[in-house]
Amino acid sequence: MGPPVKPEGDGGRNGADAKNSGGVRERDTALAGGRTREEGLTMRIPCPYCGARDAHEFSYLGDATLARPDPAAPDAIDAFAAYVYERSNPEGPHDEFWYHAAGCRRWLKVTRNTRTHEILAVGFARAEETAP
Amino acid sequence: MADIPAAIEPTRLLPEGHYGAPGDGVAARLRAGCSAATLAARRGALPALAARFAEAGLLLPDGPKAATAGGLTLIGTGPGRWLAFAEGARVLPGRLLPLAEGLAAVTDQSDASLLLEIAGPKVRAALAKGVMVDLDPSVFQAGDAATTTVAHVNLTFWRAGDRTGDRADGTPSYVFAVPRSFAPAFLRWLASSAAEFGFTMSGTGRG
Amino acid sequence: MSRLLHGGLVDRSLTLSFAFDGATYRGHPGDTLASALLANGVRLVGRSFKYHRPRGIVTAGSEEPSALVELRMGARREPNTRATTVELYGGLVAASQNRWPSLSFDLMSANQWLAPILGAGFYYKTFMWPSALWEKLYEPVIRRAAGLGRAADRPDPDPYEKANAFCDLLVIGSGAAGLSAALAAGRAGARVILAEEDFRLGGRLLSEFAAIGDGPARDFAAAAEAELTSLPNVRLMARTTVFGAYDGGTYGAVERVGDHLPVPAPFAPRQRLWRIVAQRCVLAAGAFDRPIVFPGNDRPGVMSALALSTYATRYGVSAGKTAAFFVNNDFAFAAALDAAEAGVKVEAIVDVRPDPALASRAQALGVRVIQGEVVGATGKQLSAVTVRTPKGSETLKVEALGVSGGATPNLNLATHMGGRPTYDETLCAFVPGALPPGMAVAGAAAGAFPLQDCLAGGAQAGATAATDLGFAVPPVSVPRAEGAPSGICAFWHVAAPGGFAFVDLQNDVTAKDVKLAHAEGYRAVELLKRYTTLGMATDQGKTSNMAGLAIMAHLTGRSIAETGVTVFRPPYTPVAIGALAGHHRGRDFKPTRPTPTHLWAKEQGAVFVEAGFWLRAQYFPKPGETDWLTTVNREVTAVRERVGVVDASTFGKIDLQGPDAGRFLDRVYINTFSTLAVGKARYGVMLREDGIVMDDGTSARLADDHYVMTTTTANAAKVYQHLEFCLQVLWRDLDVQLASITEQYAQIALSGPRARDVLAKLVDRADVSNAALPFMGVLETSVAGGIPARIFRLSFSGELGYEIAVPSGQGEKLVRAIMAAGAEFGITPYGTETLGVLRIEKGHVSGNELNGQTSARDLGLGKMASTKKDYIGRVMAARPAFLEEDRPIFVGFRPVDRAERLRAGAHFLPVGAEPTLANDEGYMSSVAFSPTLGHSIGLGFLKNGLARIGETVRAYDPVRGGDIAVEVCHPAFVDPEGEKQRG
Repeated sequence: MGPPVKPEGDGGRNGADAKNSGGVRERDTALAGGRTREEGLTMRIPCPYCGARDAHEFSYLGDATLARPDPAAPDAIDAFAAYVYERSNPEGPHDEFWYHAAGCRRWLKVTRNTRTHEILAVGFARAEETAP
Repeated sequence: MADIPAAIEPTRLLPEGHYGAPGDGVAARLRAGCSAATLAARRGALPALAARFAEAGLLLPDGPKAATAGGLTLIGTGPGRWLAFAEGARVLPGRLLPLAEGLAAVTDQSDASLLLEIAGPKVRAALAKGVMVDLDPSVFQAGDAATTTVAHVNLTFWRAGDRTGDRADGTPSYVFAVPRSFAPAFLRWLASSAAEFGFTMSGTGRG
Repeated sequence: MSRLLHGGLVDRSLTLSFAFDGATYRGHPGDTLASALLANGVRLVGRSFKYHRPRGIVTAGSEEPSALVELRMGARREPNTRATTVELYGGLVAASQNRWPSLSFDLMSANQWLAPILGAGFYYKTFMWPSALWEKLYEPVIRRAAGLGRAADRPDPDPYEKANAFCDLLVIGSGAAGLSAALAAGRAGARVILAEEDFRLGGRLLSEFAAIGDGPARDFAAAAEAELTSLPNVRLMARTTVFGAYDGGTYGAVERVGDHLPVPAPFAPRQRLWRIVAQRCVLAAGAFDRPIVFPGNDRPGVMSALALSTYATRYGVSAGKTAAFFVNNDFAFAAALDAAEAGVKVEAIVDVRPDPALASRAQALGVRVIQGEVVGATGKQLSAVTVRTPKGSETLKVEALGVSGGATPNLNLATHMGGRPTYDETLCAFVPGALPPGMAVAGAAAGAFPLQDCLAGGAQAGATAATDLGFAVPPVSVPRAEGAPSGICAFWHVAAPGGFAFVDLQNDVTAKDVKLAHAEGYRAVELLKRYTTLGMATDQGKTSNMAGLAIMAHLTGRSIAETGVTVFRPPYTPVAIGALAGHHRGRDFKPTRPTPTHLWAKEQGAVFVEAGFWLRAQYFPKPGETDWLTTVNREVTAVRERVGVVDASTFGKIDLQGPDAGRFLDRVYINTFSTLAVGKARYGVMLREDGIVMDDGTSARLADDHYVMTTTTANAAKVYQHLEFCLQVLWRDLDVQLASITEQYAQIALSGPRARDVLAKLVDRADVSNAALPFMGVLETSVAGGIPARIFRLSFSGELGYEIAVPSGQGEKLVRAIMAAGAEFGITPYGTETLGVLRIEKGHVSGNELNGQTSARDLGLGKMASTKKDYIGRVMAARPAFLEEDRPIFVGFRPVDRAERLRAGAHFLPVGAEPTLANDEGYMSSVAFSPTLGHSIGLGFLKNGLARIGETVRAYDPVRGGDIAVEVCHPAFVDPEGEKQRG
């Protein structure tokens, strides 16, 4: 007997990793460990728990001033559409959510100058958590 | 940095032995027979939890620190969260449960990580090839801990504290808790990074 | 030979042999390849990029635009290395580039007669039509004719690595300013890193005969180096180029650990990429000597005045038997005198200024000074220059001409964060403007050219940095340095008739090209760069930019300040890809995560597949099985008829505890979990806030306040992050604690009609009957002789199934115990392929269906959604478009001709309809050959699909030539009533 013939990928939506083209498709997330950007030469974010770390340890979410709308309100669909899709792109200080995925796994509220990447303030998203 | 011999498969732990240049610049030892658990305080329960631990003569570090008392090492990994290690299989999470009762969640992690002691006169130079935390002894002191990413591996490490402190010869010693499935990759990186200083692996048998 | 009789910082007691273009030469330790070539009288070292004109060595540093060579051979061959920075070693082999058939006779030099065609922007204007010829003809021809060196065609055999460093102060450059800065901060106790791209510390101090204190400048450098070496808080890094300044005080640097050796030392890398985090930085990178543009200024032998001087003073080499200088500033004038003092036969210094300040010193040295301009250069290798003076014209027979149009501060790194330099009319130079946070600039890089200012400015910058960081700085004493004047007269371009007058030697951009760009409207400096290629490629115009924009300023009638400069971006000098990759290449490109049963699976002969970082068993071929489909069919049949075992450990697993855990799950899943009984599990679907499905999995309740959740393998980290967001941001009042337990547990699934028989043998004492452990039941017990286990009665295959979770260190023991217990029932190991076939036969959704475009309703899971509560995504999932009748809905497909093979990715069209976007009715998401049914089956999304069961549509797959009729059917091909899994 010889080695099994290497299956040909079906080349469908899942090309390389499922031969029968329907297998348990593991979306090939090299970032599955929670990494979001290449390590190395990026911003540094002073995590209030862990100390200053490279931005590659964090995931970015965006605007931290948005509040999840009241789902029971009569105009909930419109309010949620704005909450989910509408973003301004401000120049200067911007409050944003960052998640310290490779560190303390806390969501942080970071005030960042979008022009200079200067970090002006950092705190835990859940205020009761306090820095050591 | 040296390439790992091709015969060593990336899925296996690095086998015991000496790698790279002659010498004993860095040594890593797999520490077996420990149990581990995570401890996470319930909402608002932190003061009561800390008090209960203090009563039991245990230290609950406030920040990214490692504290050892009563055979238990507690490492701060986040606000109100700790990773606990104890010598002996199945000691944890049992020992923590009565202390945490009503005040914290306890989760068994005894098999989640492998504990590696990494030490030697060149340990900092080798670790600097992947650790993106300042290891200068004036900055990262005995008892300091960090949860970070090293060579694509998310892990927690600390500089051994008082009891199991730096080696008798004064060279620094660190303990790394490496997620089990990432341990082979981590050791490949470590062996490559330490090869120029002479690297000895122990405790992993034939890998 | 052009080696001077004495002098220089080369070790004449040792001789190194090296080869260039096949000929053998000799040099000394301390030489660069460039100095050694010049010492051997080799002036012609390459052919130019476009016109293949003969070129020589122009500078003595990393700004070199011209002397690019291929270094080393075979797999180690490196193109475009600068001969001026290559440190000589014994056995070095180098070759000239871009010449054919030989360096001295290059057929392609005919290109220069095509200059009218190859001028600025030629590739935007020429060869435009017919466009079909572009790929076939124009591009290959141009690529052969124009270009630089050849990359190695084999993998680089040498290792590279990355490293991290932290310091209080990073000093970039080790000239007078850099050494002074490092001394001031180092003496104060600050952690200092001093990075120097050269292999020797000292910068210009190594090349100047000026005095500092009581001794020569180079003695000061040596003493400073010795003191810095003695300070434990100072790290000196020679052969290290800081190539980029980044956010947060982060700097990128490359240390050439082994480039000066034939091969790197054992276990040492060739290069090390440093990421340096510095609280403060002093940029003391010096200045570049820039050219004056005149006809024939690219002849081999025409070079930078400071370089000509450096070759004499530092390397003990005269770049030609006779030399002259052409300058507009005192700095270069002084360097010319140093060269004369070192022994170079200087015929004259041609200065555009009437009364240079150092004229009397020249007279004392016997060096003739001519007021005038060089208007032409002749010889394939320079043999003479023509000088225009107020009195007429004169020819100087020289082999080398040192040219200086003034000093351009090396402020490259100061602009990486977007700061724009400003033009200083007095200095005729751009000086740093807004600086990156924490950076100061000192010495020539700041436009402070006199030696005394470099010493004082560096010391001041170092002291200020240390003081800022809280160090007690001892009083700083700056030694006295011989004062030299720093006069300059703005002069860029000799207006004279004649041949090519080059602005940019690397890209063969001439003054005429700049004029053409101006005439055609490309006047902004950024457009000038793109249109003419001025300032592109390996040197990024370090020496050429100033003359180019000065000419453009003149043409537009604007000042240089108004004209501005192009933006510098990292890297400062080229960085090898290998250095950026470091350890992470080949098998270490990314971590490989073995599953807990990997070793066992390997013993069973499994074929593995990458799933993210995981390596999973894909299928388990048996002897005699010659293709994967045979194997998978056998595995599927075994599960349907008997029992199979698969490692499901890669699923994400999350431990949830706390009094609000049930309420919390109600808010993140579309269905309800707070009412789930302890000891039961439930399948759940999670949406994103926009109403699209994020992930699915099961959650089991272990206690009132304790659940365990599984996620898909791919989404493990994403779901954990999402849950933490919900707890820490959205619902801060909920008391729930999460812990990832993916690594803690091995999870092995048993599936098939005999699964219970196997399990009954496996448990130590528990009752696993249907009554005791019903479908979706959970049991905490022990198995295989005391291994603590959680048993979940779940089914992904549609068969009777269990998932057994044990501590991951026991996973291999468990699977071996399962195989032993199952032997009598014909247990069969299977992998991800069979897992996929089983779930397609059963009509379960997976990654192909949870594709970021589908709602719960699209997936046929809409009925699961609770109407009694709010949850993430509920509001947006109710948007009208999600509820439209003809939205593509999840259904099954089988070929009308059962012999046909279905293809994932095929689109559905009504039978007879044209294949247009308007007629598109959906797509096939997953397909498999079903051994259970004996034909190909598929899952997919079809407009109003559930109402069309029984209908025939066309599955159109133009990419692979597929176009077949398929019948719409219920997605569950096997046991649609779910009796098997409940039995």
